[in-house]
Amino acid sequence: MNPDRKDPPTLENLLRLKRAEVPTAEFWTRFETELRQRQLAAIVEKKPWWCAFPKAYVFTLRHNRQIGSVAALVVASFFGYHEFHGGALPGLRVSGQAAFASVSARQDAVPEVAVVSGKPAFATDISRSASVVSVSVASNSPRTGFEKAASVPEDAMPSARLIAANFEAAHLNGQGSAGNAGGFQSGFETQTASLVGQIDEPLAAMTTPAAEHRSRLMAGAGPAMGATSIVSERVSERVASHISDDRLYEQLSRYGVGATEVSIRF
Amino acid sequence: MTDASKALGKTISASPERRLEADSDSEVVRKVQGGDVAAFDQLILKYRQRVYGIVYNLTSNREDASDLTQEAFIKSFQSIHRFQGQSSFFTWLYRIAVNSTLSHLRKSRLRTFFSLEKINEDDPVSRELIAAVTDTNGAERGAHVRELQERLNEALQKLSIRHRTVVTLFEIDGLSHQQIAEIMDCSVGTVRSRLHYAKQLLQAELQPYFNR
Repeated sequence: MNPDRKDPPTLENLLRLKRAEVPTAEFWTRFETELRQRQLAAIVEKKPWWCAFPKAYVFTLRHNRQIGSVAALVVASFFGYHEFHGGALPGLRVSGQAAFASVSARQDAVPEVAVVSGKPAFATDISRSASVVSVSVASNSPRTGFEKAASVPEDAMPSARLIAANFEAAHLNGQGSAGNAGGFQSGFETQTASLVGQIDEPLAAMTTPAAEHRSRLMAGAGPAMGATSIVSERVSERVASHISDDRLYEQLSRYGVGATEVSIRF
Repeated sequence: MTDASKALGKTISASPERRLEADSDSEVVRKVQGGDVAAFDQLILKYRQRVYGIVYNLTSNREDASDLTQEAFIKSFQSIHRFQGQSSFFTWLYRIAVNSTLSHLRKSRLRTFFSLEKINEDDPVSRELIAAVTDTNGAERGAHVRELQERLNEALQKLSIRHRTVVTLFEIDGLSHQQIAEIMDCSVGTVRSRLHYAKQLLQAELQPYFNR
């Protein structure tokens, strides 16, 4: 028996005895060496590429406004540069045989544009739906029977493609209006010309204000540029009839576009 | 736990000695954060034994404890720039070590190997404790101590990881309830409750040896 033992052992004593379980001095020497090696390895260790993702995500969360602003600025600059210099945008590149009119018009002729084949398309859907668009120009037949046909080169400006698509849509619109011309003469009430079946997508007939403005400017410069120019049908009509701006805008305001129909106010 | 009670707990637990220790640590930490890598050695020398102690008592394996202690120091070294001084460096380092150990224990839950350190009988406190828990003398005492040590480690390993951590931090490392709560990210009440339950289990497990 142990004469030193006075009380029965307790759990606390037993647990406190674990404090005496300490490593030797050699252990600490080895520990220090290994730790030093690992520390150096940690300093020079090259982290895998995917380790940057969480940091990038946190950084994006913290600076989302600044990053958004910079991204918007970069995108705007990119599009603006290409628009200004006339370069074709990769996202809007016309696939296959897509082509648009390089209108060869005689100087003495009023440039008129008609779409011979192809479907109306949105500007953003040019690469998908505007597969082949041929544009003919003639002097004596405003909307039909144009003899000279040419196509827009592939490296044409996106705005030119947009205008050509609008030509096509406007031409279809004009055909629909001509078909109902008799009805239009009966009065000045608002009449609806149903174009279902003629225009697949009513919104395709719309043009952006910027495109109209550009078309108008190009129409003004058309005769000076010689044979190659791109003009819109409406602008051409305006040049031909010398209508004023006010009247032109008044005419534009007569057109309304619904989901499946186009309304024209007389 | 609310912010107010946390702040109150920190105020209560911040004794002058601990505050002094924390101040000296934060000075060294600032040096390391400023690029003085060698200054980190001071922190290693100061805390390696305590960190090793907690990891060893949680794993009951000296090789694992060595690896995990090194890992804790490496992790703290790598992320010391993120240490903002909201808690003491000691608490922060302990939290890293405990979390690494708990993660290791969860991974290797099914395999437990004991690799125990030898009890240092040269220390007078240890000698006194050994005398208190054994009723034998001479050569038999060593074997008895060894057996008790193994039984205690077995009983500790039967506890859940959380209960084992609380017992180890409180009874062996001598941390306060508040410090344990900070390290384990729980309330002081939870720490007390876990400690009470864990000691009951240990008592029941080791009862045959106490009654000898």
